[in-house]
Amino acid sequence: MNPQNFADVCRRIREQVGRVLLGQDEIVDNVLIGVLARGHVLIEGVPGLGKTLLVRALARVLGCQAKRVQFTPDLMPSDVTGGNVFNQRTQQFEFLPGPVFTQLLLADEINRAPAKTQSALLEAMADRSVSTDGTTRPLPQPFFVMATQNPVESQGTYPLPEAQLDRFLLKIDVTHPTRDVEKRLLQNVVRGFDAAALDAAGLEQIVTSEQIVAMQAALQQIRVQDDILDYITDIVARTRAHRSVYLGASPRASIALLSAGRARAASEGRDFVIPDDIKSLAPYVLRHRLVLHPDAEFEGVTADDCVQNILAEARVPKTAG
Amino acid sequence: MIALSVVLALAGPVDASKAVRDAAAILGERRYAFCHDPAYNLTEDEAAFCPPVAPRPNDRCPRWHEACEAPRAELDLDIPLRLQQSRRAGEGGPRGEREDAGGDAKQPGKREGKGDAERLEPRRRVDREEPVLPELGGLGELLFWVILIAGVVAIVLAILRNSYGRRRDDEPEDARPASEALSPGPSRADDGQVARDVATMLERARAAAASGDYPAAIKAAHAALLYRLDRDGLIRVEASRTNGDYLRDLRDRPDLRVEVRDVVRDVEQVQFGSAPATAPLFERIFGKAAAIATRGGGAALLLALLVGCPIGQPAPWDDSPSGSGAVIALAAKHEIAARFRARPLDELDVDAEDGPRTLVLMHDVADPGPEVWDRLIEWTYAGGHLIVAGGPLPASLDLRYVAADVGPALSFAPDVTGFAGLAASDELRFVSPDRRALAGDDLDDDALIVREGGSVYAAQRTRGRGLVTVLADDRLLTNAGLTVADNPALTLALLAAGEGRVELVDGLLDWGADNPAETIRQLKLTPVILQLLLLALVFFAWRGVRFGRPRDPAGRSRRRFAEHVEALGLQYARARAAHHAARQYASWALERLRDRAPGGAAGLYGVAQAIATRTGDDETRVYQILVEASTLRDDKSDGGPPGDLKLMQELARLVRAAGGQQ
Repeated sequence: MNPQNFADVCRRIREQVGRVLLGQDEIVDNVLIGVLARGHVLIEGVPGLGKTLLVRALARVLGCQAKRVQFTPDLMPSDVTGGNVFNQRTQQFEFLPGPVFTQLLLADEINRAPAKTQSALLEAMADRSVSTDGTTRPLPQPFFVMATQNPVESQGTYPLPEAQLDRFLLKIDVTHPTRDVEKRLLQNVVRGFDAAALDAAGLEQIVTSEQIVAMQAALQQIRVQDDILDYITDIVARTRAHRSVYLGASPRASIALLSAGRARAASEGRDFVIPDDIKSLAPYVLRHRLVLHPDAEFEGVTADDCVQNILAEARVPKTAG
Repeated sequence: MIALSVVLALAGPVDASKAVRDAAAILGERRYAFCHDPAYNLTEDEAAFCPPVAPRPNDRCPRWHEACEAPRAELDLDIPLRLQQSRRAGEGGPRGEREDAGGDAKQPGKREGKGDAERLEPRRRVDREEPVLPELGGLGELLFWVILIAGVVAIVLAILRNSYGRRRDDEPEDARPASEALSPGPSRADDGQVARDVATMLERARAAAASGDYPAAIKAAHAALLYRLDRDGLIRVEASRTNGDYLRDLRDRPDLRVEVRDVVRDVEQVQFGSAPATAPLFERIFGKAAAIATRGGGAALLLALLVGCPIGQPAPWDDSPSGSGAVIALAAKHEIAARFRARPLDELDVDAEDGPRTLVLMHDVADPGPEVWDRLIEWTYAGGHLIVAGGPLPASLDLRYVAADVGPALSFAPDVTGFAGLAASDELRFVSPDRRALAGDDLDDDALIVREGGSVYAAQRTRGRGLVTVLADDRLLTNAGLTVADNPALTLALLAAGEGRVELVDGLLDWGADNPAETIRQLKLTPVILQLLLLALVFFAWRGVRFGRPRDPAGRSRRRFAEHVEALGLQYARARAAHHAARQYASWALERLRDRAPGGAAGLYGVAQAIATRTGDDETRVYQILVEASTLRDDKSDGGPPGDLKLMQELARLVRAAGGQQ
């Protein structure tokens, strides 16, 4: 697939999803980048912003299977991954696949489940396989997790451990739509749009899951110059030296930044990565990977502040400035 | 005389009658109010042209003789005449506008009535040794410089301290406020870089392309484009900003954004993609970038043409009788480019082919000094025509001005057959009312125009390929001079002799200040500047204005208690120690409630009874809370149910309701 076709497909996907998900272009773009880069996305936002609708619409447009898991404090790992169940008829244990065996998985309010359940997703997200009772089962391709968490409620929640956070390619903060967008949304509802009945919305399938996998593989052809690699390593290295950061980004973050940059380049019809790909994606890639010093947190410094500060310091390659 | 004849022969013919008709047409314009306003106030000097010198009636200047009978104007003698007129224009409205018809009316005019002896002495250059700020006196001047130097030193120190030094309060790093805990982002990469000239970058691009270094050429063209946009305030060029950032800066200018995006895409294809840097690609990028980068320049030029200062062109104050606006207009009508010189005489380029061919030093010009005279003579040797019209004379000419008690009529010298295409004729009459003449050795051979009685009014001397013409005054080059006799023809011949651009030099040329202090003095802004400086210093002392890297104000030394608690809570939450915190609080709250129970009630039930009585709460509910708190206090587990917070809130309410220390 040449760059222009790649970009055209991405544009059509955005258009289709944008028909039902109004005013969330940033999320759609980044989720699409996450899908193409074989990553996973963590979305932080209050309920009611259309996260489930996004996954369902995306699944329909991408021709993929989608499932949703509502994470609760009593959710067990096997509720996610599945497990061996004794079949009385056959007198044998049979593996009953959990909801993770899908192509697009919405892990809703993931921080409501205890750490052991969250960790059940670790292997699935990293290795795209599930191991139970000594047997490793691959997950369908493509496999994409979109997890959400609510930033407001803190009671009865279990913050995601750093190792889990590192598995997410991007973290997207969602805010409420603007008044105009919200009005358009209401106008859609007045015209009869029902989020629960996507069939009526007439969403068009743009690609098949096989084509998605092919597009993921095509990203390997995206050219990345040494200057860009230097820029990435410079940014990530600066997170480790920043005075407000206790734990900087890992090498996995560098790889994530590179992968996401390639996906963005391809989605815009380029066969090469430019600094703007890296710079514009760095906040999404890095914000959840930084652990701040407690005193910096006391002072109200956020990870986003640190990333922006780092980006304002890192010299862009081949710039005119 | 031979060389003079050659020079004069080269000049085109001057039609005397046409020159007079053209002068009449020009003076017929309303801007020359002295010809149309019977109440126009002439200066004594200008009134020298009044009848009987001028005819009555005067076809060219119909109301001139009436203006001659109006009250005279008064002018300040300490400043150049043209500048006086500009001031008058500011005070009294349009040039030539009549003020109150009372006796002391003032109006624009170039000359003041000076005696002949006074006019014989050209104005001398202003002595630059005089105090720069004379109105302040010695102490004031000293104070001015002390304050100025102190201000500059303070600013430099502030810059150095903020750029390289530590903060003034030198507080520990970990105690800095939020925004300062973040290291400051780099400000603009290099303001000097941004200020680089766009044209230079474009030239650099061209040069690199010419040498075959197309990547560098493309980069330079790209940089020129960005610098241009930066200079226009449309984008902010910094080392940490990408092309995408610049395009986002241009979101309010969609058309321009599209154009810039096209350039950027091509540039990035070369810099980060696989496209080779070739000549056609460079030409494409350069063409687009240069078109955008120079577009603003064209607009700026147009703006300058529309609203800019018409340097060297006739100004409104040149329309007075002693001005030269009509002379310049007459020259223009005969395709001679004439204007007032705007650049100092010492910048006269002797070898410049596009420089002036005729320089006219008017009566009020200051003595330029030996070096400039040498340069002027050198310029003359190279073919220039220098006209000294009553102004200072160089020693090398060996001429001087003398008083001549004769009439105003002028005529060609007996041996002169013509001048600059103007054939000598008995019918031609010229007039200059000043009673001045020239004197010098062997002057008769060089005489061009003579007064009645034979005293020389104008003389010419050849210098190399050029010519020096000396007039006893500059009356022929004034508007009033054009109103009488055949003066326009002679004036035109004088200007035409050099065959090229004519530049008039008057006292305004060197009136500009040589330094900022002198400018302030001339504008009488010293008190205002001093007050502003003082205000700036006070502001600096008060606010500690930083001139280095931008930083937020210093943080508070003490945080609010609520912030401490919030921070502490965050710490506990991060350490998964919320249950521990609840346990500690329960223990503390139980002790406080036990203190509030009278007589040291034994057991939880007794405390619950006492607290319920004191607060009015249900005794059973209070007892339940105390039991839960006691259980929590004794709980040694790491985690707890989500109800810890609710219990803590209940305890806090009881403590508050029971009174006493919380």
